[in-house]
Amino acid sequence: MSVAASSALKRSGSRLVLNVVCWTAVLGTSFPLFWMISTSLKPDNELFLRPPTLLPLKPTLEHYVRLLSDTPFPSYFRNSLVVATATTLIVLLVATFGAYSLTRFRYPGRRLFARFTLFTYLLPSVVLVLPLYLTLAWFHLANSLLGLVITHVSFGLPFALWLLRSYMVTIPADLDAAARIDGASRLGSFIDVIVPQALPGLISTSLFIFIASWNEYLYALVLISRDDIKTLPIGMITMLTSSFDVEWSQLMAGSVMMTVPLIIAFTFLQRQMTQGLGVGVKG
Amino acid sequence: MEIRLEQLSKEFADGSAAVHGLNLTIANRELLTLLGPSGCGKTTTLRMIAGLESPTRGRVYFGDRLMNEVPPAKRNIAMVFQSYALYPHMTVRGNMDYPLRKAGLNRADRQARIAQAAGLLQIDALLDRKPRQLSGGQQQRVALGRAIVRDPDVFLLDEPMSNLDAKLRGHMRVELIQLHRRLGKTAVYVTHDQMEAMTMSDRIAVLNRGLLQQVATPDEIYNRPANRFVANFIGSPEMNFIEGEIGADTDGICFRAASFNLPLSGDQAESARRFGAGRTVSAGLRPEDVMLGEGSLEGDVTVVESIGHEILVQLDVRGHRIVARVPAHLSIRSGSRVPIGFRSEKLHLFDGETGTRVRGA
Repeated sequence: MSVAASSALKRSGSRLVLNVVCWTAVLGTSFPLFWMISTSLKPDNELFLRPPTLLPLKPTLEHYVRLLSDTPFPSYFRNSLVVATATTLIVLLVATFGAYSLTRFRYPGRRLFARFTLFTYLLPSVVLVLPLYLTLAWFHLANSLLGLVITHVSFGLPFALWLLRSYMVTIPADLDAAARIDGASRLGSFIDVIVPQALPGLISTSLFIFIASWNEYLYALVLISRDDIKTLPIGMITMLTSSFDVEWSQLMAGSVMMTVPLIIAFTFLQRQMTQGLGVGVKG
Repeated sequence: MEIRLEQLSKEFADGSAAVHGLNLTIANRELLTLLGPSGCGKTTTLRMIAGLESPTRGRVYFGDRLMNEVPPAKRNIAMVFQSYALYPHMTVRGNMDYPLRKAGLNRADRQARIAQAAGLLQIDALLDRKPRQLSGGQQQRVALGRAIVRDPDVFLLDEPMSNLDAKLRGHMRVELIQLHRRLGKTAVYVTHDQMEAMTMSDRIAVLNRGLLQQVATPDEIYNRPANRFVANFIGSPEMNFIEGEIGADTDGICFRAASFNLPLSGDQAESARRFGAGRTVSAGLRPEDVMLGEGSLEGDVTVVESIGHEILVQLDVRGHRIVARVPAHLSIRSGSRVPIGFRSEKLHLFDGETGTRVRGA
């Protein structure tokens, strides 16, 4: 066998191994998702069949209908949407300006501040539960969506600031200088030049913050006790634990609906997301 | 538009000083080059004129108007950056349109101006491309286009050619000179390339470590450098320097090196006499003012380099290293010993202590 042919064989062999490994990983991680969707579509009598059915024999949407009409699920969903959206908007606004300041202005303590920012992110959230709760209670914000938004912002902001800072460092300062000479104000150059350049970073940061807020459990559990302002993670747990028998199909239907917005967002923004992270890590 | 810098200084937060008490007037329609090695403060000076840096002390005037507090956007200037700084998310047209939109021009005017500038720089065909689809030379043209399209009072150019290859640079130099003549605007050009400075400028301001060394025409800078730094910085290969003192004997006044004397005559003798016999000086002589094959001294040839029509010859003249630039037809071999003479009327004398030129009063 020629050398070229043998190396080609070797290459295709290693490619095969790589493919097998990758597909195993993909199937392994996506199986629970598949099981979740499948279960949510099964009628109650099919749930505990032995042997279990992979696909529902008689698919039904009854759990979804019941979830939306007979349970507080829509209210939880709305609360989650409000909290995650508000958190993302506030974090993005403050972090973008903050990152611009950290990369474009010279003032004493700038570097220290940037490092310290990340340090606050490293504190375990359990440690901060009590002080945060007491602080919010002092302001009468403990049992409110606003209080939850403030909490989520306080966790998301340092990370977003750090991510966007390392992203903006890579945007040449000559660009905003050029815009300012071309007739733009500082804010104008920021909006016209920096924001379009930082867009992938902004998108990946906002996705990250949105997901973190959407899935956040601990603070929502501690801060929120009123049922009408519960978010999805605690709302779902409440539904799960408040009745004697767990309605698995309904729980799965809820989980599907909780996951769908994220999957949609990821699908559309995947490209920008990876671009953003790639550049961000470099800085 | 005349630009006047008065006692302009810039110190950075970390304590490093970039520019010290710079006084400089740039005449209307003049092309003045700020020339110096990296870190000499030339770019900082340009950025202070642009308003991108605020001076620690001193004043910037455009005409009679004090500009210190005027933001860059209100100075009616255009700047070409070393990196070109084209907006990557906009097309060439978008890049050129941006300053016009900011100036509030209507659509028809903007289109007319873009067409005119694009025609002048021959970038019409590129208008719908993005910067990343352009070569370095094309990007540079677009950067120039963005600068001229708005008809500014002042052009600021920060090493605009340092990213181009040598051939393109020579070509762009000529174009820039023509463009400057045609537009008739004040221009400040920053470079560390003496060739660019010598060929393009009406006047050159040489800076070193934030201090102005000399402002003069290219000719004056080359032939009458104000101090040893300027003499050394301008010219390639570098000027030869020989340390010595002013000597006076019965034959008249001379430059006395460790192992030989050079007679001085005319104005030089006069200024040397006024400077004072016995004082230490450096004598500077450009390589083209060294003659080989004639003269009273002899030198040992150590290295011969050909640059085509001329050759650069390194010699050891009684312990002094001398470089000569002579026509190629003088066939000189390394290892040989040749007669060497200096055009003493071209000798530059610098104060041995301060380095400033020894001048007739």
